[in-house]
Amino acid sequence: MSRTFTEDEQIRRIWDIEDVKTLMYTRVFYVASDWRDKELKELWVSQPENTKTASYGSNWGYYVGMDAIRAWYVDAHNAELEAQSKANNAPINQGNLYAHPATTGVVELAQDGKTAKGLWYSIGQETKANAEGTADARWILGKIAADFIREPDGWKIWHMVFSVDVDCQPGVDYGTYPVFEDWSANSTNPVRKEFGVPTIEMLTHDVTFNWWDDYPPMPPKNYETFTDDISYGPEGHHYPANRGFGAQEGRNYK
Amino acid sequence: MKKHLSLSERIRNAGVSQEVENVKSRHAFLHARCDGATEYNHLWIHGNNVGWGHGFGGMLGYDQVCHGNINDYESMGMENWLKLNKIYPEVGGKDFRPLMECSVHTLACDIIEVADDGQSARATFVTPGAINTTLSPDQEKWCHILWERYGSDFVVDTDGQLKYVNEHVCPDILTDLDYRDWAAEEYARHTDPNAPPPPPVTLGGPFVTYPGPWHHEYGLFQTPQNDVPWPEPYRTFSETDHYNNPRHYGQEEIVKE
Amino acid sequence: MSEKFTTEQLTDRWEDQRDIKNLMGKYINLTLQNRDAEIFGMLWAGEADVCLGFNDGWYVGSSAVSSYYDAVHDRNVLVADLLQKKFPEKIGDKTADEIFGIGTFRVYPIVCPIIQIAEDGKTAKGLWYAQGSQAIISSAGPTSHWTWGYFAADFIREDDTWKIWHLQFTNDVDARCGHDWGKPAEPMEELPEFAPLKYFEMPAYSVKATVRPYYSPDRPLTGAPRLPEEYTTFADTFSYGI
Repeated sequence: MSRTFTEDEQIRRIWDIEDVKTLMYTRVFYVASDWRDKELKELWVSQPENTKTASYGSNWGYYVGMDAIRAWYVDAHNAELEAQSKANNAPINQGNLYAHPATTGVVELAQDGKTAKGLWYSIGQETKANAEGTADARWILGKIAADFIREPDGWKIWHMVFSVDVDCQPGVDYGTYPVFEDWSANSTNPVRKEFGVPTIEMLTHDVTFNWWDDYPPMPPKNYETFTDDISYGPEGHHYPANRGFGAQEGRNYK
Repeated sequence: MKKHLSLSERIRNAGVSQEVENVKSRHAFLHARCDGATEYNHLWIHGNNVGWGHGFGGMLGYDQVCHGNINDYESMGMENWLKLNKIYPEVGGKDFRPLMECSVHTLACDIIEVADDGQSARATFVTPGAINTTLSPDQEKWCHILWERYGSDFVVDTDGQLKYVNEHVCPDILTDLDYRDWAAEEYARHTDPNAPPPPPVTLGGPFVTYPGPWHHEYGLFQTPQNDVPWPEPYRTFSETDHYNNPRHYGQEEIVKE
Repeated sequence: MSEKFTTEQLTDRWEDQRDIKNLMGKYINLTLQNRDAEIFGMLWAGEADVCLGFNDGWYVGSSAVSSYYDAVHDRNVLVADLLQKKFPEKIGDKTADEIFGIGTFRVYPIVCPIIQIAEDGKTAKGLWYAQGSQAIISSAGPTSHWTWGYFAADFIREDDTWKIWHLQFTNDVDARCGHDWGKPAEPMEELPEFAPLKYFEMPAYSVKATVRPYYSPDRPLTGAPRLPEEYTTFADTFSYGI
């Protein structure tokens, strides 16, 4: 049941949704600048009751809590950049390019106005310089889903999921990649490798079956207040009721 | 600014404008799951004069739009599943529809106009998209790139919800990720008998009241097309143009009771 | 941000940002349809200090900016003429008007809008990401390209209509589709039928400058253009122009 809002409340709610979109787009430009530390400080939750439950998820699990997110998203990334710099004998981040534009946004604001949920799609790429003096470019396509919460200084990212659908190199036929990939932490897939070993390691979304599992799902329309059940954090993850076989299972029927 | 309207009307229309983005995006995500049933049940007006157009022409009426976008689409999905089932036993018990493909038409360049009376809205978008699947009967992944333009009309339904009444899809670029130069290939098709053919179009030949062509993909001799001109400010839907309009193609418009 | 504005101000600002999105959407649509010759008159401000920047320079002032769009139009006339000469059996009987715009196709879908309207309501700023694709005819014939870049603009209100005041369209990448932009571009053979395009010159920049270096493996990380920030009046903020 939707609440009734005054005209002043209506236009402020419209702007709340716009502000949430702007927050996500600001993140896009921060990512392009590789301002990961600044992103976490400015755009993510900072209130203690929210930092504990903040999460960053992907197909292979979730980092939970801002400390864990920072340790992977900033510290591990910076360590990789250091190693790259040493291997390439070049300044940090030279020859790197990060582009993950967010499009197709659908944002729902809770009736109580305290939280919002959004879903976007990103056709993006990352390009990383190598020791040969060239670089390795990679298309990366996927959904970006996020929960936002209103803190004293405005809307903040609380839970985020970047769910990868496609990753491949320009100049290479996507059809030549193996149908089944190793998605474990030992995987050689560069996108999987970069995600490291999250706090909760689990296959949240298996691209083998396209969007059959509907994860992450669209935000519910007209939700009254945030509950864990609809979270884009790990507590809101649901496998389909009839999960059936996973990739490469079910082969013993003969 | 819309100073000729009252503040109350302007706030209402701001909400409608924002809802256009939401409805359009919900469509995109549902379509990517091949979930036409949810999309057409919930996001569309169930009327005799709704329209859905493409390069192949224009559908008229909810039944025809649903047939093209649900029945025909699901037929392709089911045929695909039957083939997959012979190769990949893990597809057993899974909804066949999203297993066909993940067809994501992202939304960009939105131009949105809401009627002064707040009962309708018109919008155009550019949609750079990707259509991919992991499991295929050929046992190879594939990912097509399909860039299109949309012209979309929306009206407020009797339940107060903003819903689609017309959609015109104009495909411009079709290629594969990412080993093809689509312009050089098009030139080669006119100069080299051994040039590779274009990637196949995945849509079949649905029933249409208005036969096409209603738009052409990029071609070497194709002049610029403006099949979904951006909307101009307007007062009420009955006084303006609409997308999916056969008169733009010299065809007589049919209005059903 | 909404706390400091009244209900009516918030509504005004909503309509303003919508108008600016529409304005830039029209810019992209006109480019897509090769209607470049209409862009300056339809979308640009009458201010003397309008400017248009690309990766390697600026057109400054009305005359220079409009001359850029006119040159794009003229180049498309030449492209059509060369295609007609190459394929007389297919389009030899067409007039120049009938074949205008063939061959070239450029689409730069703009996304991620960050728009700030000045508190005084007289100007605005916007930043977009644009992952584009284009078919360009060069002296090597038709090739398609992916582009990855940005649109950044200042807008000014003229007669209650938003107009483009300063605009920069800069790319990180402009590389052939189907080729890895991290690797050296393969040289392309020139085709005699398109040789005149080699000698077609765009107007010289008013100011030649590196607005944004193109991506290369030895380019230092080059972040996004500066984001628009809340501001009161244009004198209080930075310019996307030169």
